[in-house]
Amino acid sequence: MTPDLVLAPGMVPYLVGGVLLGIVVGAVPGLTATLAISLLLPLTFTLPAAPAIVMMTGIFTGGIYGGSIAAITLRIPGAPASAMTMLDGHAMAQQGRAGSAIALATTSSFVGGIAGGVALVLFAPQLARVALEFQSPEMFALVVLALTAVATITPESLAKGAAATVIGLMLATVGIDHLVPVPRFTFGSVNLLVGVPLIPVVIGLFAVTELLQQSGEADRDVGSATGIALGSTAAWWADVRAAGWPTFVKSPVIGTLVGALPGAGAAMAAFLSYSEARRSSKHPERFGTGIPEGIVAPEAANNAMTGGAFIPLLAFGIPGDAVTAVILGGLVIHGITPGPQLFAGADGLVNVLFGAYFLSYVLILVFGLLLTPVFSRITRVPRAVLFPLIGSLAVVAAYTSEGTAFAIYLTVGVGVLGYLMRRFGYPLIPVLLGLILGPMLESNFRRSMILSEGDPTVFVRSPVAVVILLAAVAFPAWTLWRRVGGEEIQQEQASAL
Amino acid sequence: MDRLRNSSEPSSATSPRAGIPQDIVSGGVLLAAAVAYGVGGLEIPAQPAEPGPGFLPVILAVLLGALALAVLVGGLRSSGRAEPPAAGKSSTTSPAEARGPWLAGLATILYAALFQPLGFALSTLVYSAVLTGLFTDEWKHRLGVPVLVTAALYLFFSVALGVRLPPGLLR
Repeated sequence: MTPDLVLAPGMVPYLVGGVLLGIVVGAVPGLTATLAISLLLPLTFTLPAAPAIVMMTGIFTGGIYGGSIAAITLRIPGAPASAMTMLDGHAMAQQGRAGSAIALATTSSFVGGIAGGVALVLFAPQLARVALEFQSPEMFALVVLALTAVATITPESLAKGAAATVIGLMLATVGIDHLVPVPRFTFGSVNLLVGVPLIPVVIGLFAVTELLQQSGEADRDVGSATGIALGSTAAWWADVRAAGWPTFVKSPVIGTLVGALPGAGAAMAAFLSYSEARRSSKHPERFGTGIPEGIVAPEAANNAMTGGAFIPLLAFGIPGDAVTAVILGGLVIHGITPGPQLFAGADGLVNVLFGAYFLSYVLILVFGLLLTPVFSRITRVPRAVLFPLIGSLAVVAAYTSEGTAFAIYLTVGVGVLGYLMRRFGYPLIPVLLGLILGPMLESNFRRSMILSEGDPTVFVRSPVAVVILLAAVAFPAWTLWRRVGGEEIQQEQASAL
Repeated sequence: MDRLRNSSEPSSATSPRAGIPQDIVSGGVLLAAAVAYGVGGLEIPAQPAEPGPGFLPVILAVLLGALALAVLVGGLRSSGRAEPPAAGKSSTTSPAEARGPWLAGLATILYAALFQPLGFALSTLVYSAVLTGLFTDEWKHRLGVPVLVTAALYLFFSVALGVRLPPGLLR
């Protein structure tokens, strides 16, 4: 298949809307692209699949980029992925060069995003072709790999990450069984016969939980922006040259590889890239004082991550990070099954996504360079306006998704559960992944066992399945090993921050 | 003036309510959930072609039980090593900060319960007024934001998307 990267003109307004929404949400501290897409999902019901995909792609890329704006102007990362950008970005802003810093972040995001996109276009179709050869045992092994990878998302407590994954899998067992018509855990409720609906869970986990979390936290010190002048962007090209081409080459590679790894995410990409830039620098002591490499490395990496994260999503139906997990939910809701079938489909949805992805980074470059003063004001929207809107939108969006009071109750219930889990140190992304991948895990396992007449060695007869299962074991082992040496890394991270 | 100022993250070691280590509380709750879920899994009727629909739930219950025990034991061990916070460095949240999530949660639960009986407009107006009050004491916000939020959502969902929102008392 030759990818057609030209987006139909009718899709452009959706992409522009998505990118702008993503940048705005990403720029507001505390709000993430995950939350924006969660709230958007019910709204995409009224759209055909293609514009829905385009809009979600725009929010994803715009959201990752938008986080850098608050990091630079306020010293508050708009999203966790921008924490490393904050170090040198805000230092530059304090020197009266916030405009240059944002322009540099925009350029790096563009370069990183396009590099991640090239990897996506080159590798996703090839991997999808490999996936065509997968039978039930290989698919089961692949889902196990994704779940163990995402379970290690909380490196300080493997047990909590794994428990969150199991909770998601438990939610996935609710409803009529996929292979035999037997109801499970429905408690006599008609609403649960078809399973736990995805949208209320997504909205509850990411919107209601965020609302509850924020209502117990301090108002962010927006006053720290006082005295920050945007300044001129005239020095932008000099900064780009000062950062040096090795940073522009290495960072997107790191970002893309991290993105393709399930569960790692943009924050990990930014941290690894920043660490590598500092390690290989001739003047590591200047990192944190406002040097261009300190902005280019994390921004190019976390935006390249977006392309990388789409690769396992499109090839296998396994999301690479939190946002692509929600996007996967959106695809499923629109009746789209990621994987080889998606690439073979005549509807060209993959090309729509590819086209939207590349154009979104062109839009980010244009908007970022032209609208910097506007975006820097967005970061000061009062939370007294923001959170009543998010709370009300969450409930109304949940009602709209199912048209029942049950959907609202489920949203609120999941939101409270999510809040308690966060408070007690349990990650939320594995819950969502467990819910989405649970049916795939169970049906492939049971199908393999039934076809092999109950012989469990079916999972080790295929070399591919064996390799994948070994990788699934390696993930928690690597996390434990990292935890042993973790103090050193934590000290390094703490000193950087 | 904003109400919820100067908050600090709750201690990762102890429950904000009773000083019980959080991992003991969450491990205990997970263990109970694992037992309840496992009992439910065992009640699913067996099928001629096994593994049947009850297989995964039982496996998951065992897995969650083991993980719950790991968290519980970790909590018990860390509670033995727990040290009091350094002088002048409080690890507890202020009453206003501790109240915030519970008030927001209660308001959201009531909003969910009253969304259909009261209708979209009235319930959204009241709910957003309560939430605004949690974040600010400024009257212009407390009066303006609820009206703005309700109008914006109505225009977006009802007018733009054509969604039929419950009219409730304004029927």
